[in-house]
Amino acid sequence: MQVLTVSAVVNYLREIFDASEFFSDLWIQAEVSNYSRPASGHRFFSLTDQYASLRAVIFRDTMPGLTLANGDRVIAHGKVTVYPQRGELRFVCDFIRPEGIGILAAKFEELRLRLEAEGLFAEERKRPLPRFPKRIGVVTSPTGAAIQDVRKVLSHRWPLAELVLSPAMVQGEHAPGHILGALRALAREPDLDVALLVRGGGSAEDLWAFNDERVARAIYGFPVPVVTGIGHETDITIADLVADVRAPTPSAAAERATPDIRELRRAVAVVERAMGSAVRERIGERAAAVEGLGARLQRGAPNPALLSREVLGLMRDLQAAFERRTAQDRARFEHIRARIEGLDPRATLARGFAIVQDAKSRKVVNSVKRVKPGARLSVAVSDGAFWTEVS
Amino acid sequence: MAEQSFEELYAALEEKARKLEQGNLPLEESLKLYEEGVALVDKLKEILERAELRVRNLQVRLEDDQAHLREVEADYGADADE
Repeated sequence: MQVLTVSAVVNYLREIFDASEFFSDLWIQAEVSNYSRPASGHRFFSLTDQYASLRAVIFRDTMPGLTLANGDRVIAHGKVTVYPQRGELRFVCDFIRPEGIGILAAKFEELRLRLEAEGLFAEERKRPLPRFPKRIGVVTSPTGAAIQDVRKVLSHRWPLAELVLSPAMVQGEHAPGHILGALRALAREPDLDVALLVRGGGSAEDLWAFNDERVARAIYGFPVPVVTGIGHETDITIADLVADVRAPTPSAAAERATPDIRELRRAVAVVERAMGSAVRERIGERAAAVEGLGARLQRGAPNPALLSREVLGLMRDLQAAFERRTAQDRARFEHIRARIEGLDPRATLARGFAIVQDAKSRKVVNSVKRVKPGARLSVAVSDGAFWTEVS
Repeated sequence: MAEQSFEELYAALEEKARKLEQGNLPLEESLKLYEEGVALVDKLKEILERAELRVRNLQVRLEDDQAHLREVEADYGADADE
């Protein structure tokens, strides 16, 4: 027979409780009594009902703002352990809410606070969605309305994609396991661009699988961005909080994950037109540049048209000068000729003058002194001569 | 060379359009960009017109859910030990 110390026994008890999954994750519904808050800041109280009581503690750093009052009806989460100094059980409470909110809401809130503190919902870890997803994974029921909605949206909006359905039951106690399995199968799919986790509307209990911690962690660790569309607009699940993008419904999730093919058709047409006008503009600029260059060349170098005008002008000047010269020469010639012609006695004779000569001596009679009465004279006129006697 | 994806073609088109509209390019290069851009537009239009959604179902054994849960729990246990 073995004799043990008290410490050994109590530590053994404590190990049993601490190793127990059941006692490590308990939800208890009870009334608060014997509440006290000593200077240490820890809050001590009993959880009681009509038949039993369990000592409980909320440590100083847990829910620091929280105060309780005796008689409060609460839902508390925590673990049962052994307080060795007194050999007593302690309920170490990490979450407590008024009973009125209901067990599901309390559980939701406890998980939300815990995962939030862990950073699972942090904005900075949300991944951007691909612009043009080629392969879109969908985790949902193969027979539900959600998959029909998603197919419809994708067919109209982004039929370039391939939809890969990874089927799962999305309701009931097996749903978390199904969703995990479907996510895992999808994660193995090569070249997946984005995953949709969707489910149509239902009661809070119907959507409960999406508040499962394991599902939340699977979404968090999923290799590509996850878009959720669970229930209706007002339903928010833990899965929504951890997803990269939360859409209010399955259809909205499909819309968020894809571009609109109609907008893209318009965008391509717009780019096409813009390129057309850009290239026309380039051509216009080039043509203007060529014209400008031509103008510069004309200014800088001899202009053939100008040059020819100049040459023509010069030639005209030369010709004019030449003609002037010629005219002068001709005038002078005429003048000389006139003078010469003037010298020609015949012209004088033609005007009625006559040349009178002594018939014998042939001397020109240019004075009365040169003749005597009875002398014979020859009178030459323009067309002949005749003789006459001085009387 | 593998057929270019819509994304690659669209990115190439955006790039060419951007260069073209930016200007300061020789005319010959602008014309070349324009021709290449128009070829991309034709390809993109064809893809956008003939597209039809393909659907494929993965074979997931729905009865495996408990196994999945156990696996996951084991993973978390391993995480906690680290």
